[in-house]
Amino acid sequence: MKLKLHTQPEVPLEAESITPAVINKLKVKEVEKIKIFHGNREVNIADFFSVSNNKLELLELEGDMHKIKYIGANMFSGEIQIEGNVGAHLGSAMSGGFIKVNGNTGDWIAPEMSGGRMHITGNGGHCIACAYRGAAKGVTGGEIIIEGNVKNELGHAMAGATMVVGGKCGDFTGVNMISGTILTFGEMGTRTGAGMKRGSIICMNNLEILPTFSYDCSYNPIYLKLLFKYLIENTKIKIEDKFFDGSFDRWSGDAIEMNRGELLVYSA
Amino acid sequence: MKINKTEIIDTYAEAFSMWSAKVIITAETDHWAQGAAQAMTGFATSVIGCKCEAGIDQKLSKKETPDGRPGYSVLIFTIDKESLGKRLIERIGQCVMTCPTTACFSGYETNDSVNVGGALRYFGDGYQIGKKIQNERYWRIPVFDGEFIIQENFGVKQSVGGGNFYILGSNSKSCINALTESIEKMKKVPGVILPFPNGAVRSGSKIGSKYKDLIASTNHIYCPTIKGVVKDSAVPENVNTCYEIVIDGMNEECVSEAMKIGINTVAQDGVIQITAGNFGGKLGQYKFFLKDLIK
Repeated sequence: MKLKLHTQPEVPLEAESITPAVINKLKVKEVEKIKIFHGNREVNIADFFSVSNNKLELLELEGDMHKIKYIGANMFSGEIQIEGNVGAHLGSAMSGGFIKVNGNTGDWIAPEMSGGRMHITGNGGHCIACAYRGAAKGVTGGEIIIEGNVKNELGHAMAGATMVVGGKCGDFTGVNMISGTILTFGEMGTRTGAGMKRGSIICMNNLEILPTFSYDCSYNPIYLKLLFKYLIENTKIKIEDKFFDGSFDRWSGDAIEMNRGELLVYSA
Repeated sequence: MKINKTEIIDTYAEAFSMWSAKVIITAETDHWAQGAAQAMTGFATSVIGCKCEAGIDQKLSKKETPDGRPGYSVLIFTIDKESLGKRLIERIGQCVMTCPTTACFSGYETNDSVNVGGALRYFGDGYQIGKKIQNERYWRIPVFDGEFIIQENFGVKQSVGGGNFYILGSNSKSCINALTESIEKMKKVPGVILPFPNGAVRSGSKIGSKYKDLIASTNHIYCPTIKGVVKDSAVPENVNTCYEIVIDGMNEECVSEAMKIGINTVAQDGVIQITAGNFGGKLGQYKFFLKDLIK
């Protein structure tokens, strides 16, 4: 099925029902009548999208959807391809399937994600894959690849996912991280890994190391060769040859927590 | 039937089903990868006494390995799936993890798998780190030169063990020369191993023994030194030396291909007869008829 935005909403649309499991089993006329929220008013999908049958299992979305929230929420299978920007809470609580965004995303994407894959070719906002305020854990699984930049609090309290950022990161990347992997290629903001218990934050750029991290050694982690190879095969992130055979400084922390986390920082 | 002057007996090799795993070993240099592969495949000639059969399958270029380093693929065979997991844990733990700079990956992509890295990770004593790439989990175990990386699950599959043929010659020298050339060609077939020393066996065995505690004993009908006293000796008058070549493979096709290359190469001057071992079809599911393997 293909949904093309024809009217820009004045206030955010909450479109939890735009998932392959809901839409792909319906006919065009039925999809047009699916209810979504425009602010606090219930409207039909057809009020904002033109619907057509692409005769594929793939759910295609097109248009500038920066005001549309919760696309792919609770998704557990299937595939969504989005051409254009998309709003907050994309893939909220998703547990499977694949979302590809050829554009930028808003804040708070992939909260409570436990599985599946998300690939964003543009930039992301604040609090990507971040735990909700008051929650002990954030995302618990899955994979998020963002080829561009992201803002603050990427992977706050994440517990088991893999995240890759091709560009810059804001402050507090991996704050309170419990486990999982964050790999970044651009400049880092301040306080990376603050309060992390376990997990890995891998940076290709120098960064401010908090005093509660202790230096271990300089070495070439074989694991990164596998990760880089995977990214080369599946993304357009440019990975320089020097990273494959380069040396990485390993720092353990955060000592204010379990001290089982690691920062791997490319050194030469 | 004859190839050149060598008589080919109209019989078949009887092979049986075994479970196999393909292990990819990589290291910083070919030297260390080879060292680990050789150690892992040592003392693995026959399930009778070694609990598994193993050998180096292929040397791999940097482009063929998961981490872009030089490597080797090793095949290991056991009678059942459960024991295959145990042997992998023992051999990777003692022979690969111990070798400087190595990493270890599964070479099969199959639905069946055994947990190897998930068991070896405990060597990390709590400092090990699990990492997932796509749907595969890898374990990073801290060791003296950095980390040993091992995949959690290793693919396993039902394969073919015990493909074989015998060569009977006028003397040891002529047989050995023919064997050496033949084995070198057979080793190049992907997906097969020749688990015995340099690929040949001189102590071919039969099932059982006159001694009740032994499960196997010398296949006396092919021993030239006793042909005068063995009533059913299979050693012809003009034969003074016999050897067996045993082939294990990922599937029936590659075993057949290796046997075909081997038989057609080994049929040289001095090799009087080529035959094969079978148990009358009672033991194994696979039959490789020599007549089908002649070019």
